Amino acid sequence: MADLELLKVSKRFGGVVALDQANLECFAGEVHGLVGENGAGKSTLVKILAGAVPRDQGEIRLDATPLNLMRPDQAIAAGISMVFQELSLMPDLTVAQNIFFGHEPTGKDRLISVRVLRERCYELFDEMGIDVANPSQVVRELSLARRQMVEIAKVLARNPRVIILDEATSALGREQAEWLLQYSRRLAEHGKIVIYISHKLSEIRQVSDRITVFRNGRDVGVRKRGEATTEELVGLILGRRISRLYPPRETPLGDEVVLEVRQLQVPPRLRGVSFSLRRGEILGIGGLTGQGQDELFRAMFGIERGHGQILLNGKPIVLRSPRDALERNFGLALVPEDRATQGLLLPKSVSSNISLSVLPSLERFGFIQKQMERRTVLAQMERLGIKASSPDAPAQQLSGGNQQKVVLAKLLATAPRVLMLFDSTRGVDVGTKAEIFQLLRQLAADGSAVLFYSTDIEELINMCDRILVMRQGQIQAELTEATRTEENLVRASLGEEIVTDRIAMIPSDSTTRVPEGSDTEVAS
Amino acid sequence: MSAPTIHPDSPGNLAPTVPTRFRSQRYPEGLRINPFDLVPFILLIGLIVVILLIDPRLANLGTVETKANAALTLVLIATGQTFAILTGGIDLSVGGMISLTNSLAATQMTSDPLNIIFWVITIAAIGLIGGAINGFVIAVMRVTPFIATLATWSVWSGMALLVLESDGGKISPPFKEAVRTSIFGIPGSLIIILVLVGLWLLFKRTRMGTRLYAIGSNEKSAILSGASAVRTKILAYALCGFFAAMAGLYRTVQVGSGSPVAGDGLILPSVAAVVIGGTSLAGGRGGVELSIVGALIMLFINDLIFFAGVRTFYTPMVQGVFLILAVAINAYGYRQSLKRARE
Repeated sequence: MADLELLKVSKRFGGVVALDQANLECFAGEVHGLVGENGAGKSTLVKILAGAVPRDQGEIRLDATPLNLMRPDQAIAAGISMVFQELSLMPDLTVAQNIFFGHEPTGKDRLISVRVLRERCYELFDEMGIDVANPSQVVRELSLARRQMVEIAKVLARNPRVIILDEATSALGREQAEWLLQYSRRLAEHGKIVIYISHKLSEIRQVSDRITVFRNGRDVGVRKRGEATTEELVGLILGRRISRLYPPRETPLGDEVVLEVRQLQVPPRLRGVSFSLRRGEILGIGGLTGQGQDELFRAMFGIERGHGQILLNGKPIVLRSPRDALERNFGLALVPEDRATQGLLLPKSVSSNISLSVLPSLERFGFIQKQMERRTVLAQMERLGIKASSPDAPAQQLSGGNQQKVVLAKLLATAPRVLMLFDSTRGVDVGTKAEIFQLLRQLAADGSAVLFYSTDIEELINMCDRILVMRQGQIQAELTEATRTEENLVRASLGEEIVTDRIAMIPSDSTTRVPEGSDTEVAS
Repeated sequence: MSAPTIHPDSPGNLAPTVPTRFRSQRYPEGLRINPFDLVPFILLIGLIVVILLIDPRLANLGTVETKANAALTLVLIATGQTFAILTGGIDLSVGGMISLTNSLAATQMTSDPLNIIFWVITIAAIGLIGGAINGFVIAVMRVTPFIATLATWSVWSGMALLVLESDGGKISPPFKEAVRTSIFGIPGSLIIILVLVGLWLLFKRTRMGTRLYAIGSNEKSAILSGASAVRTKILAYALCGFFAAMAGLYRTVQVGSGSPVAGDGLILPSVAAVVIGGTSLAGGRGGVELSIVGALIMLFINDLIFFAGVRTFYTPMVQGVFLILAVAINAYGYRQSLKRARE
């Protein structure tokens, strides 16, 4: 019998069935991978296990003992701890206060002492074998990656039997992610149960002893390590085969320059960048994170004032605010990184989110024409294949991928000449990603220009006509069709020369099929 | 297992079979002070200096006693209000609670020591229970703090009018004497303020203290981390009610009589004292020690207005302006400190 059993667990959110009699069996000493598309139910399942979401039906047993698990504190007491995707840290408390929250070590006077807390933190970090953060610093001041490390340390400090990692590597840097994979293995070797959820199939295949696949709220298969190929897992996840994640360019590229940027600067991070963008072109922006890409996009959307020139169809333009970029017929649109806070009004309906950007054009005598609004919204929803119960459903009810499509719909309603995407595909499942890429190709074919920043190297290589690699606020290299390889992208990111004198002509077409064992991100 | 287990809680049994010699980076421990956090203290010292410059004769122990006596009411309410505001809420019902307890003390308390003890305990209990009701309505019935306490303010005020129809009653003389006692020459009200600060600094170092800040900082995260928002909030509002009741009791001593509307004018000053001290209305940042500084600032501003010869009904206006300034400076300073930390 398995050490941890979840039997016929069901959960509904309103009318939506999130879990339908799902099962999960884990053994002590194993890393157990969970995969499935967004909305397949795996996140709901582990949240139930962590007591964050009360289940409607079903049984949970740890070492044959039935558990209640209706509140987070019950799960923690039962030895089940989860590293939450949306963080469970208190931003105004210090790192140390967060890590030992609820079981703070006390000194001789039976009170919590800052010094004791700090020492215990260092002991924990030493054992983890990695630097986490300054124990005395307030969490609000930390970067996302550091916060994620604190979150992990917080779970480990409780010394739980069952450790749940939900997309724990997505916010981490490369080194930290590598550490987490190794540490997960070590935890399993010491008899723990590690439940591991990730977008990245390669990561899951590397770390898991067994993998359970979820689809439509049910478990649809368990595979042992090495038993399943990536291809087979993808098939199980989708219930169908994906043929093309990256659609190829079908129309030739024109010569007409739509947008030109000359010596754009936003001190101190962006130190002079020049490039031009042609009609129908998808131009990639790459490089390590924080090399000025953020500032470049912000300046080009009018969020920040930059020095230098931006020319639209040969005429210089001044962007004082996003409103300028969107409304003054400039036709610049930005799909932001964080859709929840930057791109969407979550409690508002899908309809009002989409029409928000084109409200002035829907007005007659100062009143919004409801019928016109509805027509515009429905057209965009159909074009993008947005799955919502109705246009009036609040945006927060939609899955992550569909929310991202609403952000796109909102911007496409303005018929932009230049569409800028800032790492907008992060955390989006493979099905939606394929649809978004298809749409980008179509937009480009229709004559829009696309500026595409992504932290995913594979996406850049396969989607972009050219790639500008940024480093320390400047353009380090331009990768054209001849030099557009993963190796060159990494080399340029690190400030090394790119390799040109080799037969590196990988036509963009050959990588459009999902390659065996590649780092293809599949689903959440 | 090769590595020693450091503490039963820590994952000591996870050490690898080949012990790593990893030693995490040790961070510098220097105190990082945000200059904006010092604003209330500088303001307080500045006010004291100005007042002493205007009237140097005030520099004596008698002044300390007068000021401590005058400040104690606001100090007590602000202390309570801090608990509510730290959870990210607010308690408007302190006004009604003060009116009620002031009316009770002024009409019911006799000179009999047993009677005095009975009423002190009863008034404390009324504060705790009334506050706990606030906490229950807010945390369990999920009514926003503003509306919940606006409603209970009205209820407590109504009860005050049942006890005492119009201003009247008087203070029990032995009780007044007990409260006004000095110990080793230190006035009673000053001792109470110092004890408050001491108790608060101890409370901050308990798990409950950490939870109070945690709930105010991010309620959802705190719950996911195993804290009970219901228990924490009920406690916070109960303490707020308790301190409001104590303030009502003390006001009876200070004024010598009761009033069924005694507390209404104290709602704004209580919130203002907390905010001027530097506690965030969003919750999670601040503390009682700061609110006491805020209360003293309010008191000295009133003194300054008095010295300036301006008619006292300008006081609420000046208080309002100070409240807005304090919130703005607080928020600005906080944004600045975050900006610096992230660079």
